[in-house]
Amino acid sequence: MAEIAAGVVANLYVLAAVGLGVGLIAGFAGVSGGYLLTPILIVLGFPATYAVGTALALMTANTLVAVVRHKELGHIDLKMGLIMAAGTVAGAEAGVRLLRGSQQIGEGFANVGVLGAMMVTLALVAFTMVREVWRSSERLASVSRDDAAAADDFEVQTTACRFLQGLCVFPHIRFTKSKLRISGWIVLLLGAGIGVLSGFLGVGGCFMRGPALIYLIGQPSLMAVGTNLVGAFVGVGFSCFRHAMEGHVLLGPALVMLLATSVGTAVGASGTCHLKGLAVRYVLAASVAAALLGPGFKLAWFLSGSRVAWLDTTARLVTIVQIGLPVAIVVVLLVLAMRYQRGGAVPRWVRPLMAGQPRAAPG
Amino acid sequence: MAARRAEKRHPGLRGSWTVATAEALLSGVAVLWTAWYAVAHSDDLDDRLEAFAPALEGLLTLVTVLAAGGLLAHAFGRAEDAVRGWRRAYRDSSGADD
Repeated sequence: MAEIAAGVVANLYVLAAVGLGVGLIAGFAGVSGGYLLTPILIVLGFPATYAVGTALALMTANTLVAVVRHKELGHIDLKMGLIMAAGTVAGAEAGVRLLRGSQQIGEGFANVGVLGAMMVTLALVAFTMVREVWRSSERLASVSRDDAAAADDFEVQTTACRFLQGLCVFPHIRFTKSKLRISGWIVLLLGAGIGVLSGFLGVGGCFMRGPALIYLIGQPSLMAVGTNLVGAFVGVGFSCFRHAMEGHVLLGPALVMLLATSVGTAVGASGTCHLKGLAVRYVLAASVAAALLGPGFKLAWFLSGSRVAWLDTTARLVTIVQIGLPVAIVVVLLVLAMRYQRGGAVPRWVRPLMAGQPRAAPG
Repeated sequence: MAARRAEKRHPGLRGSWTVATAEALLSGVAVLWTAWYAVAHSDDLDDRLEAFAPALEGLLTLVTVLAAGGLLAHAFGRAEDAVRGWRRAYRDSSGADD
């Protein structure tokens, strides 16, 4: 244990381990990981303001690493990412002011408001994702192998994205890399809406932006991973600047975690080449659904007037579990993908998630 | 992108896995040293940053994390180049032996 700032004591090895896990999920699912990282830092003993500022500094550097990596892999639609980022910055400023307004009403009101909004948002995103992933899995299971590859190329085509792509509001922009055409205003407004939520909740907003790009805009999953990160990089960088102005960023822990997180991100991002988009959506859905549990117990603890001690203890334990579950899924999927590509035996249920063809067995 | 990067590099350094390894290691060590310094001198660092105006403090922090992120991104890119270059060199030497 080391004192890393006035009154903040933490174990640097634990911070590095947490960074590695968050990086793995972030690189694989194309999220910045703030919705996992900030609650964990609070559980580890960081005051909430330092937890938010430090997590934002880490996410700024880490999303830069991830953006460069995904750019090399060709998973970025820069035009869409920058339009969305412009909306996110404006929305984030509005969200920060909304939070300040609710704090003026009362600290308790702000705590319950933030956790309540976080729960509703996570529940909506998790419900939409789990339902879609379930349907996609059933569809993939019912088609032949060749059709499955074609189905993955088309990815998701929800009623909402067909409707939004059909709206002819000037400027109707062609996004060549995403192979779609949609009004620039829709992308900008979507970015602004997510920015308001991310500014209010103190997160990067990737867990909302990613599903929005897939289910509302209709972008292919792998392209959404990189594009999401471009929007997050600009938004998180802006928020980091604002928090650093207030002196809420602890550079030491942020840089220690960054070293571990960047390794996890590089491994996770490389893993997306071995698996289909559906696997990315599985992990994102699992991590968002798991992330519901910690804030849920914490909200119950606040609503009980901070009197029921076991609710707080359970919230802390569940927060640790919520990072372990998606990490375990990513590790298992990557191990199975390597085995599959070397021609080894893998369970039948996992085959539709594997990209490419298995190497023929020697002899 | 790797090809474009190689074009800009001096012909003698192009594809050299030793130079790539050195660049990756130096970038990693630079971030590691900065992290160690920030943890070991956290109080001094806070005092020094607080001496600046808030906007400048925010800007310095942002530039530091961006530089760290950029260095790490560069380190990973060059580490990949190094592994690729080392494999090529190993394959060539094996072919020459045959």
